[in-house]
Amino acid sequence: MSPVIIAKDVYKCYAGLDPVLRGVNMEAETGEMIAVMGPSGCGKSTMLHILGMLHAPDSGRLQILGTEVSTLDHKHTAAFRRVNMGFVMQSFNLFDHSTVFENVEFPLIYAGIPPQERWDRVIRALDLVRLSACVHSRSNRLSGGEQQRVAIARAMVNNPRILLADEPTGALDARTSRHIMKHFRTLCHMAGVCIIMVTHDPTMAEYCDTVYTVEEGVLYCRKRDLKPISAGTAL
Amino acid sequence: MIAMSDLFRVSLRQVVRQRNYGVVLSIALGITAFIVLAVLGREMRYKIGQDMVLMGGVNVINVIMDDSQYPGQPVREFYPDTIRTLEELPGVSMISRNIRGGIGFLLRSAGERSLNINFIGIDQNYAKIFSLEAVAGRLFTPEDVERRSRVCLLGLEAARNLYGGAREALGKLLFLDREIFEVVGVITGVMLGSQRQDGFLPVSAMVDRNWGSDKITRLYVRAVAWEDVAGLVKIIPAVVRERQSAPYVRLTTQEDQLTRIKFMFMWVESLLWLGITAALLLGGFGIWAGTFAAVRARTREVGLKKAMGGSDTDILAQFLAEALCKAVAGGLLGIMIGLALVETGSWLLDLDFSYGLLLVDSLGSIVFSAVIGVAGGLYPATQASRLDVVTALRFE
Repeated sequence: MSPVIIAKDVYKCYAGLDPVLRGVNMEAETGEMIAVMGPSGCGKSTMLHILGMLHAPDSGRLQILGTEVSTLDHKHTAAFRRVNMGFVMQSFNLFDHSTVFENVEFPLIYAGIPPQERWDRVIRALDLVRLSACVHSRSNRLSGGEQQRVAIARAMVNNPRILLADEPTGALDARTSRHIMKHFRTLCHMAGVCIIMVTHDPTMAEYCDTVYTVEEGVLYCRKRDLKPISAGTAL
Repeated sequence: MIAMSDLFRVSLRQVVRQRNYGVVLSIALGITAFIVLAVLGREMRYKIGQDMVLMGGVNVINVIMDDSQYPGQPVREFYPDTIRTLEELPGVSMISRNIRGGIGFLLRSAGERSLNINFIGIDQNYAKIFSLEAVAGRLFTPEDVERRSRVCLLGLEAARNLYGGAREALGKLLFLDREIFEVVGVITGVMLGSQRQDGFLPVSAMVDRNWGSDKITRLYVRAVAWEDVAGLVKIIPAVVRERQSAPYVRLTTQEDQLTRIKFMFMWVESLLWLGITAALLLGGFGIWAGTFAAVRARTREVGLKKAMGGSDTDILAQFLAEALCKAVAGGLLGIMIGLALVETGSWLLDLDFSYGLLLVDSLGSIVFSAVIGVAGGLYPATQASRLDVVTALRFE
């Protein structure tokens, strides 16, 4: 399987501070679920932002889906992200005073999907996280776990090849966190989405195929041999 | 770039849910005032101008045959044909025929006191031109003037001096140069001034008797509004001379008062426009501040939208569209209220207005509101579009 993300010798330093990333190398494949771990301030979120093209590396190569993304301008970067990537943040970041449908619909608006196709796609995305019954609910009336599932549905509605999650279970209780991680595994192994997740919780990392650890700006990799989920055991 | 239909649907939804109605109301207030002033302003100026006679008769033009000032000249009079032509001029409300000067008669009052009362010749329009009213009895009718009736009116003070009151004067007979005239009315009014002590006879009766003069030598021309005065002053001499010989026709107006009233109007109008501008600026500032507050409150939303693939232009367009929606909503509300006020005002003040002008002003208001919205929202929206994604996502 060809890698969807190849990062080589990625270097990042913020002005006036020590380098955060010092020659990071990483490869991610289709359907792979990756955890990036490390203590606070070690640069794992920076790593995720660079992989998500939210920040540009100071040096090094970054190839995503066969495209050398560091050569793209601002406008094309946004367009590339729109088509190929989904984001889930630590705090749920749903739009206030909007319904579940309006939240999940938004990436489709940016992608220029015609209004008549949106309903089906939103419902399909909500079905993935088993929230299609709440499609008309106000997002701020949902529980924390439900809000995070809406955020996942929103990240998935455009059928991205890569899903980036920044501590997606950081604000959730253990039971809901486990539930969310199971959702991620299903998406990875059933839909072939590459998920890269930043977490500091080893329990959550146990759900991932590969665990990277950032230590003093260098990424250390530990591959694990997890059994893929079959259709029969899906959520 | 996000589709326009989606952009405005999402923005309108956001505006409704934000409930930032203060800005909308402020713009509505400005647009309402603009519509009312622009549509009814001209008619109202005319109406007020008509009432300005109470403040000094600024729309009355005194037209005199001044031949008597030039020795050896024959004294000319205004021909009926000339008067009819003047009556038909645009901007002329009505004309009163008079004779220049009057005649004094010694009359005996209630206390056996002798009073010298000055009598002047007027027609039926004189009272209307100077907004006089009868406090007792009646005013002159066209028949009184036409039939040269031997009737007279007294000023309120003359009636009091002679008979102790207005009602007491009615029906009394006055002996003027061995002729008997009956008092049929007592008149007063702001414009009457010292003529409250005078008496009034039908101009035709005075001409017949050569009391004061045997010719119509003075016309009082009342303009529809003070704005018409300047134009009439220019054309009246030419019109008169076209119809008859009138080398020494002279016009006088209340020029100083007219200038002062124009000046006063200019200030009142300036203050009104200033108020409208202030209301609209307030609305624009409200949009500016509101959009800034929205950008600040929704910074993480901006970051998230950018992470989703929203371009800078999408973010700019969204905040700008929200500002535009607020401004145009205010404009539409202002037009509706303005329309209602224009209809009500025209009905109450008995004014006419042009629906074409209303339409043009309404369209202009929409465009103007949109400009306010864009101008007010542009800077904060640009700031939002330039936010760094990660900084925006981490904003607390």
